[in-house]
Amino acid sequence: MAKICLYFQVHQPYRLLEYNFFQIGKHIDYFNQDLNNLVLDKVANHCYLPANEMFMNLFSENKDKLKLNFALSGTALSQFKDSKPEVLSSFKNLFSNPGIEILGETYYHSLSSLFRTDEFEYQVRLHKNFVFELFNKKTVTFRNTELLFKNSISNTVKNLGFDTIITEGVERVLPNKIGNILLKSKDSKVPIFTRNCSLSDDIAFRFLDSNSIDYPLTAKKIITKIKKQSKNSDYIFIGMDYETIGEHFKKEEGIFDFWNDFITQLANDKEIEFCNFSDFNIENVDTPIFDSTDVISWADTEKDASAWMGNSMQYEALRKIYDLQKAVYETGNQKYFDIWRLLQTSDHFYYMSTKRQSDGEVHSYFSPFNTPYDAYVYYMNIVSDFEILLKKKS
Amino acid sequence: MKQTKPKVLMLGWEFPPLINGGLGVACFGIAKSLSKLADVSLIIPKSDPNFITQNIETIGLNHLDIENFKINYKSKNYEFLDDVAFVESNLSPYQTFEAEVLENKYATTDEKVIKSKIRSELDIFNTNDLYDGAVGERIYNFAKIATLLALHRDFDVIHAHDWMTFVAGMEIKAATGKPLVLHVHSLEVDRNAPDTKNWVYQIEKKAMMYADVIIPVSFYTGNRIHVLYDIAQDKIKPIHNGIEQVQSFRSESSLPEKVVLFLGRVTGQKGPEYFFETASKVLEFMPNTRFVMAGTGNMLKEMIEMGAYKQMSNRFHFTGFLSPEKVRQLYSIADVYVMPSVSEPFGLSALEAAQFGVPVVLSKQSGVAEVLPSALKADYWDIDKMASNIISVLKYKGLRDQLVKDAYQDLSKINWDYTAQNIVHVYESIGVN
Repeated sequence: MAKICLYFQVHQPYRLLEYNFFQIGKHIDYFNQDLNNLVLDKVANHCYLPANEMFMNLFSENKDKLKLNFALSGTALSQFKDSKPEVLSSFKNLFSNPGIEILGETYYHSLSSLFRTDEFEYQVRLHKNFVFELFNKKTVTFRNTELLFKNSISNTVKNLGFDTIITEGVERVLPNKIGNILLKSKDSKVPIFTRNCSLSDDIAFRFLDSNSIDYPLTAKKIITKIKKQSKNSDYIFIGMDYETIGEHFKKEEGIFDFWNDFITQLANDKEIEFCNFSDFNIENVDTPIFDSTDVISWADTEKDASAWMGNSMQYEALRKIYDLQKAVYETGNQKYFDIWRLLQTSDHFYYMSTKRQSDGEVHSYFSPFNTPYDAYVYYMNIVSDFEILLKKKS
Repeated sequence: MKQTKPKVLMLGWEFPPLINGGLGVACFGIAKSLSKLADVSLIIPKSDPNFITQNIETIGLNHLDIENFKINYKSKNYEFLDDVAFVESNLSPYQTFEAEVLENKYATTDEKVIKSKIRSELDIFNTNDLYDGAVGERIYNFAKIATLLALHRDFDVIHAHDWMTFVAGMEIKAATGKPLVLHVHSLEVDRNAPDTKNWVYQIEKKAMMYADVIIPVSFYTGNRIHVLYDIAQDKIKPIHNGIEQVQSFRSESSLPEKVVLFLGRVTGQKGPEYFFETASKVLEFMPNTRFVMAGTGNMLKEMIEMGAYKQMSNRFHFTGFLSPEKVRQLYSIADVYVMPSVSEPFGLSALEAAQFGVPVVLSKQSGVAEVLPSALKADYWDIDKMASNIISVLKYKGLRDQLVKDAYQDLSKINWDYTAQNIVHVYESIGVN
């Protein structure tokens, strides 16, 4: 029996304004609300609303069989709540199905796990509470921002009350380079699930790739692969951005038809079972140890932190924002805490990446700015303004 | 399979050690790298026997051996030259020009008379300024002598650099039937005004129409040739310049302030007044900054007066013309290099600054921007954006470091060998192998 864990990431950042140098000290609102609303409208119409509806139907057609795992960032949820309540109700509706597991993460989709443990803990708790408030569900499986992981994170996560962590199946780190296997973290022995990159990317990146041997991709081709791989596996973990459905690939390109077909065939296959991460009980099971002293993630070809920390601009910007912690605390003002944390969202640093070739294309696809240099300059102008604001208030 | 190298008759104007701007540097870089792939003979107005270039046969008109000069006095090719002169005559700023050309028809078959005539014609190249008032006469004399030389030589293609050699290029093509390649480093519409139709423009346009292929130093310039000279796109094959690897260095600046550098001719084309406006904007926000305008030109006085008028003289400095050594020193202490050109076909100096690890801020109206994707850019007239680019580089170390690093990566793909390979491909496209 192949156990399949399907996982979707839902995230929207609060994108920033093109804040020019001459605006420093003028304390103009930093966030590009028009753009954020525009993107939200677009993605809601292309993806969130129709995809939720599709899965809603699939749940009613496949009662008691279908299970899905979702991770939604706090910045996405709060934008739904404030600007697009119909999207939030649509998710609430979908999540009323019993086969849904919601994962925990940092509210701000930040890199705080790599910089400030206290801040990381705060943001995870905030997210936990927010998810409970909105969906009345407890999060027990943890997925860090963009599946970032390193050994030391598992201790903190365990202490925050999580039973399980999911991360990327990075070959160089996997024991014997084998994925799809139950593992436990080196520190504190938390169960670890690793994403199956090749099967996930077959859908998320190569769906329309005419150079791929699977082109045109069908549900049957993927299921054949799943079955082949599942022989020596504990589970198959396929995960991607939820926005893959309808936004990255459009309805006209057949992505909805694919998913409809894929889920229906999986559900009707007697050798396959859908799973939530929390279904596995491996407390007393002997598993290999997952040991990664270096940071891994699901981003770029490197699958490390270089998407956000690969060049001097990114280092400088990150250093600068985390250096403001003390000044923010001194104001004691909730509004400034919130701004400071919104400025920690990993996307801002992702836009500053100067990687070239295909990874560079992915970075600029998501970026609201023309160049990584622009992204850095506007970000730093905002941080400079924020610094002045904090000085005035403390 | 290629059996032999193409034989190139190259016509240049500036050449080391005589260098006024980018043209001489580019011509040298191209000739040197091209000589690895082709047999290059180079005719230039002035050569220095102490400046030895391997594998390039360099013929300076100032060192011509007139005694052994073969004269084909039966040639009728000067009629073509006359035609060019007539067409431009009413536009020429040089009143004596037309008469001179007519007079210089060698109305004699006496070799001695002709040789003495040629000698007197060559006198005009004994100057340190090839662009002074007699430039018009000089280019026609250059054309005549170069044609005489060409008629007794074996070559496959004529490769002419900029308008000063275009008349010679046309003349040699008419006399020999060999294909003509024009290399455009600069255009009169940039040096002068986009709507100019003066005699230099007329020479450029006539040559472009007559040439087999045109190589501008950037896509930017290629587009201007298409639009402002009405030349078909398929005849225009842009090839970017290269750059020599240099031993770069940084020096400790004696100034406590950050240094923002402008380097180039102080003429309208280079946008010195925009640099000035930008400086005044930057100083409002970062008073601890110094601006250096290095170079000379017809707008220098105006700039100096403006500095005094705006009471910026303690922050705005002029160096006048600088030796290459002094230029390198300046690069080594500069914190930002700014090129606000109104229209810049290429802009080699931006690459030089980048080699010295100086972050570069460019106008979008520049060819070099095509090979420095990492450089910060703004429209030359967008003072706010230009100023904010400069301030960002000075203020944010992360940006500065990254720009320098990325520019090094861009530079690693730029060299004259690559330029030369592309030139050979262009030769091949017109049947020269």
